[in-house]
Amino acid sequence: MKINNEAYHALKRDGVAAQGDLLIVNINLMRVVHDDWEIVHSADGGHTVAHSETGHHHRLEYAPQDGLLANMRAPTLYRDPKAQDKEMRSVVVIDEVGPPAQIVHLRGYDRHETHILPPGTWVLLRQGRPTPEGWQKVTD
Amino acid sequence: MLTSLTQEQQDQIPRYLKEYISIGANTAPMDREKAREAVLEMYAHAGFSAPKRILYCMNPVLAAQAGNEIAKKMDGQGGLNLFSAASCASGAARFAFLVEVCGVKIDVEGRRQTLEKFIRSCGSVYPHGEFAIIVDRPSVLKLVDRNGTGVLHCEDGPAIAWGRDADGNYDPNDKYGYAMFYWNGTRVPAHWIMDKVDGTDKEKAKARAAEILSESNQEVLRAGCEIVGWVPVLEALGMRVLDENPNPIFGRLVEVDLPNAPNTKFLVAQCGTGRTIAVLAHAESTSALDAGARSYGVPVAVYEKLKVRT
Repeated sequence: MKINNEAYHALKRDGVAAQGDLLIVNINLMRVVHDDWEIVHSADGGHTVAHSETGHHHRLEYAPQDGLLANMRAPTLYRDPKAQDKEMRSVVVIDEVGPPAQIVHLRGYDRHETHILPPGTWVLLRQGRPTPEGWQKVTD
Repeated sequence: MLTSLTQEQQDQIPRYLKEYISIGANTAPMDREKAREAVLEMYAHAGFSAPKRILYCMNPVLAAQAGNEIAKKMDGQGGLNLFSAASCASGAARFAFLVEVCGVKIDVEGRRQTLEKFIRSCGSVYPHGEFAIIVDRPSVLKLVDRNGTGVLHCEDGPAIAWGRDADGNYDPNDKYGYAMFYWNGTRVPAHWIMDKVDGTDKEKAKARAAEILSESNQEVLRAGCEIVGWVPVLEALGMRVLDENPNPIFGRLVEVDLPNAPNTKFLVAQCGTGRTIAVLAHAESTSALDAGARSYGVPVAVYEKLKVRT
């Protein structure tokens, strides 16, 4: 399957790409141990990986296909149950044999282009800023 | 079953788009009698008895507040949603196209006709078992096209507002009115639009710049900087450029003096949509690259691998 997506190739080549305030990094580039993190369950295999106050969420989408790949696993999203803000740092595992998942920015205008995630384990990082209450994610 | 459209049918789509978008964007006063008929029919279609009272309201915020208060007094509950005519217009357009152009027979034609009557007569309704509040259409609705999507935007007044004078035109002094201000789809405080800074009053410009840069929501902050201009905002606060990365996606690290926080650092960079963004940076940031890496909690060695930002 030939994939024409700039972010996909950047993630394969560089291990890192950014979609607005969301940074996607290959786990091999970072020390993130997620063995004791909780799995976030989803009815349709999709997840909102970055909430937006204005409804322009970044959504991890996955479309199971008919035929041989019908039973393959959806992406698995892990979050740290002890984190003050669980969305600041997540880990997503994309099945090695299936079609890639994608992160879509749900906005009709000034939209950040879709990222197709190659198979592998990816760390999803929200951008943060210092506040009087401590380090908090940048909201939009 | 309809599985494809003929060319003649496809040619009719723009006409339906135009007609129903204009219904959703209609700012004429509501037609109380037609709206009342539509609401009563909606109750009947849903199998409910008619509401004992039908009230009329000039704006949806007031309608929701009043509706919830009355509902709480009656049954201890509230929190019902307004049923918006504009939101229903797209569904009504699809129904109309399928029935009128494609000849599709539906067994809910009566309901479709009621929906048509509703979207063509008012702005919204707050439906309760005992009463219904029918809400006027907005008297102002200003949209700009962004990649084929109409977004709320107005540079010199509210982008959406309710309230009218005796002639049915927008009246900002209508005590039952309500106005919201938007910049390219982002809601901003009214005074950012109605009381713009022009650079002649340096203290006012400084206070406005500080207010904008202190905004926690990135979209609102960006909209504020676009209204005033990025350079005037930063220069009003005595901007010093500490570092400028040759790659615009890493941007510049600048320092400004906020009223109660001198030497506050901001990372100013270009996002993938081509817009400029400013993010409050860690106080110990030494370069744009370092500030960007700290903002995501990654080492500089990882962050500097970034080549694609959409």
